[in-house]
Amino acid sequence: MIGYLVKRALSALGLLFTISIVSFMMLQIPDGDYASYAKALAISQGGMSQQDAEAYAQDIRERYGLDKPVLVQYFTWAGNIVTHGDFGPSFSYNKPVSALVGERLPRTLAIALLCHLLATTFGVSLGIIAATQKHRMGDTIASTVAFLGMTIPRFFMALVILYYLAFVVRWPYIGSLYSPQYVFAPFSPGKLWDFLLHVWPAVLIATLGGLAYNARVMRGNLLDVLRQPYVEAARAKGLKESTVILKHAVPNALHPLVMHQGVILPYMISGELEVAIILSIPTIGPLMFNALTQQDINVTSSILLLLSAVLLLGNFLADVALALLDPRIRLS
Amino acid sequence: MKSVLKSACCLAVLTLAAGPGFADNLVGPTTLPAAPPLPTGDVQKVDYDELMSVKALDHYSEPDWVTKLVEAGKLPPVQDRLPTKPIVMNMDVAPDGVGVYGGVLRHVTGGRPEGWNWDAGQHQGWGGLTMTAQECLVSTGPMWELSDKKIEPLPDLATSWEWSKDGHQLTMHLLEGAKWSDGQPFSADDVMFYWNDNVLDPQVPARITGDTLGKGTTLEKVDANTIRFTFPQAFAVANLYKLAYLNFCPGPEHILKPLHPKYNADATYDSYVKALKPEQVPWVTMGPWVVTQYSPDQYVVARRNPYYFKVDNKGNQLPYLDEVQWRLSTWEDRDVQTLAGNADWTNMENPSIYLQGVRGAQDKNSPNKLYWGPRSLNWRLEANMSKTCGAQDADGQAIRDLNRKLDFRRALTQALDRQAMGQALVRGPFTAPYPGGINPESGVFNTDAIAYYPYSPETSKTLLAGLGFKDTDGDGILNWTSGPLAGQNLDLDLHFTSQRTTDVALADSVVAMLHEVGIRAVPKPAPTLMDPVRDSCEWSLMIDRGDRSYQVPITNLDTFAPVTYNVPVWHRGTPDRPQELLPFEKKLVELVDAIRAEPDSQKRTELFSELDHVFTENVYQIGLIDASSAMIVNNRFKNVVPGTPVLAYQFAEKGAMRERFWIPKAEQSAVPELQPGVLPGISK
Repeated sequence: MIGYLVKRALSALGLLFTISIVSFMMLQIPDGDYASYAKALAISQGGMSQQDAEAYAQDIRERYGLDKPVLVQYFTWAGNIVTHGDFGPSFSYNKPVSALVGERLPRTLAIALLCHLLATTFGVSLGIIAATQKHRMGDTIASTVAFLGMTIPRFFMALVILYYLAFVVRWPYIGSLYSPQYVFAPFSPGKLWDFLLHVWPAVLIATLGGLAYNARVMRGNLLDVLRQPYVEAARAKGLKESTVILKHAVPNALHPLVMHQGVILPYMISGELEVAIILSIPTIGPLMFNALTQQDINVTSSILLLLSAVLLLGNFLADVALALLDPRIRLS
Repeated sequence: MKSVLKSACCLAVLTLAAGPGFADNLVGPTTLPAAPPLPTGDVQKVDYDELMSVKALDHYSEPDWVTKLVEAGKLPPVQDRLPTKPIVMNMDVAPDGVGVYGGVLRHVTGGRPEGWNWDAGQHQGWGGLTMTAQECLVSTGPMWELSDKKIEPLPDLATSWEWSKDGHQLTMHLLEGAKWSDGQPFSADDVMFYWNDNVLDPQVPARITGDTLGKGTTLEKVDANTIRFTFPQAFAVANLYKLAYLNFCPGPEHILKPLHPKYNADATYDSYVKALKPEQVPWVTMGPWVVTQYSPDQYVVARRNPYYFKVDNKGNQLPYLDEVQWRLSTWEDRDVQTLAGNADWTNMENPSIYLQGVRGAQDKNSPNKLYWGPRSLNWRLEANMSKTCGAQDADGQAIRDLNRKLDFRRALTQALDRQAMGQALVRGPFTAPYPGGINPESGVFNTDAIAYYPYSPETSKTLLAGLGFKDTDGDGILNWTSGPLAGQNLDLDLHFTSQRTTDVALADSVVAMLHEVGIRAVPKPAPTLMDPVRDSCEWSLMIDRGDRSYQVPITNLDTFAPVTYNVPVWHRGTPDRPQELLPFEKKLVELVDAIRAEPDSQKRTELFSELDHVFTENVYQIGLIDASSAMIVNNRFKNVVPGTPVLAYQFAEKGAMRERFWIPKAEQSAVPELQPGVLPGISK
């Protein structure tokens, strides 16, 4: 078992290393660098001449080591992470990437977890309704909701909601995390309510997208379980139908969804990313998107690396769980 | 003007000399069609001395709540906080006159403050925030409102200036008795520290270098309130414009000097640049509002600066508004929040959303008003003419040689139906054909001076045939018939940014229209702005947006001629291999040099006409469309001038003079202040 775990851990680390190189290199493909972005801003915002802006950009390149070969930049960045846990500075924010991500990750995770919780609760419930009312009205409604949730792109839902809120009802809580009066205020129930008023569109959209998967998986599994002899036996014993379903069938139908939790975290975060970008909610999504457009390479590379690490960690934990459950895996 | 006419005659003679059959098939050059009127409202121009002046008044006043702080001994009286002679803004020429104190302005910015050491090149988050923090020697933003009688930079930290007889020295007199927002005196020492220890220190990434005002420029302190520049070139009038935002805006020497490694053994250049982080509030500034609260990625709050150096003509210390807030978000969110009524200002610069904006503003419940400005934005197609920068293989050189031929550039420009292009973006009067060169709605544009090549696909086809192109394989695209690309299709890569929907739409139009004459433009969208692509030199055609250089050419003459190795951006060289100039480009360089040294504004305007003639006659740049833009400002605000351009000398946040904005008392409660009663650095 230990040998198996060590092997899986080493393979995960190797993969992480490869991902870090590929992502860092891929981000170098577009022409220019952050200094080019700063130069463009200096010209457009400040009306600087080409010469002055170029000299300014060159200063930035030297200051941040952007004038060095890509491999040197990569090993400096990766080396600092390994030796000091330092992800380097964000050029556009002028502060460490770790501080930036540290500010945004908790709120990103909080929103993602909330979405996940709601998606699981509602998804499983819809799946139960669909399975127990197979080919009847409940099934049709639940399946339609799940189908729409799976097929409508999240960014499209976000745009429609944004249009409605901004241009039709002029909703005062669009974007951001808090209304101005709560930004500098200490935590209070009012502040929490204000937070929910701002983030509900993102939660709604990510939940809709997430619940679709859960509902469809749950429906299929529950239908299989409901055909098992022990369910018939329970019914034959005279148990109430709700007891048969909720106590005997549902727990067994949940297994695949429980196993899925190990790899769900990156999915949860990515589900929230695109919605947050469109709705301008300051989580990891807009940070990464802006860093991409500004070629703030340390930010994008570090976020990609962190997301990959989360995915690999989830997979690793799932592998461990499977190995514990199934001796054929740990002994193979 | 004579030389313009002479050139026009020469062009006609040359066209005829090319052979009767050839010339008969060519349409143009002609005059630029008149653009339809814009819904800008009645734009009132104001004389230079009417807009603002520098003088002492008999009496000064301030908000009542500030007076109470003075009475409590927490602040000196207003007359002691102001300069001996403050800048007096004349509210008789403002649309709504003298205002009342109080109220909040809400901005949204997509930028984030780097810190407030702007001496070392840091910006403060754009979106009007950097402009609020930095005051400069002169002010160019409001110049768009000046009448033709005198168009010159306006006073700011420098209140007056004079040239020496030989034109090499510019002596500037600074505000006397002015103070930073922390009450410390502002003086020539602040300017000298910026120049000596930032601009001239190669290790400080200041916005400008010692060469910006001309190699060998020096600056000396004459006395506590006087400085003197010595320029290598006589009457370098263009330099006066370079002393404005964002180039010559000194920071507080009393705070920065102790942090500079030259004066502090423990400091490094890196620590100096990053010393003043945004969290370190209040930011010390000469601007109208001072940042007093900052929450990363969320909000910035700025309160009125009790030491601000401007008053209205009744002696009320400006600004009228007590607080300005910035939501730290995205640029797209700025439009959304403003249209939803959650923010007070956005600049509408994307023609494809204009109709939505107009519809929204016509709604009787709309929280905003639209203020249309002139068509000061323009889009252009550039043909890379460089022989020494990029594309060193034979194929690349063949394309560059082609771009260098006037007939080819003319074939490109006459294949483009600008009218249709503009209407496809937005129906109505918002766009007009742009001939390239100086913007047609610029103050120095002379419509008689330009050579406009109108839409004529037949002319394009004739010119391309004359250059030897022929569709030899019948696929609808012309083929090269000689040179290294012989037999191949006439394919040209077309670069544009995918960050702006207008650029993408224009690229679609250009591709379709060039295809009509047998040129295949291969779209190359870039996820970034165009500077990185341009700097790579590896491009053939490029669409980009132009703004203030074309609207106010004096501010950046480098745009118009190859005066150094890396301008204009469509004909670059390298430091070792400068450009191989075409004959007309040498003429452009001469004209730019002449403009730089011409102190007489009338003569300068004539030189601009000549420059624009040579520029457009040779299709140095292929203009696409001019477009108007609009400020969207919440209904609460008074003194917003109709016709304020989103971008002219500066962006509208500087040009609209926000320090004059005011909100009627009854409407002030619509948006509550976050820090009522707070003054920067003063405890309640």
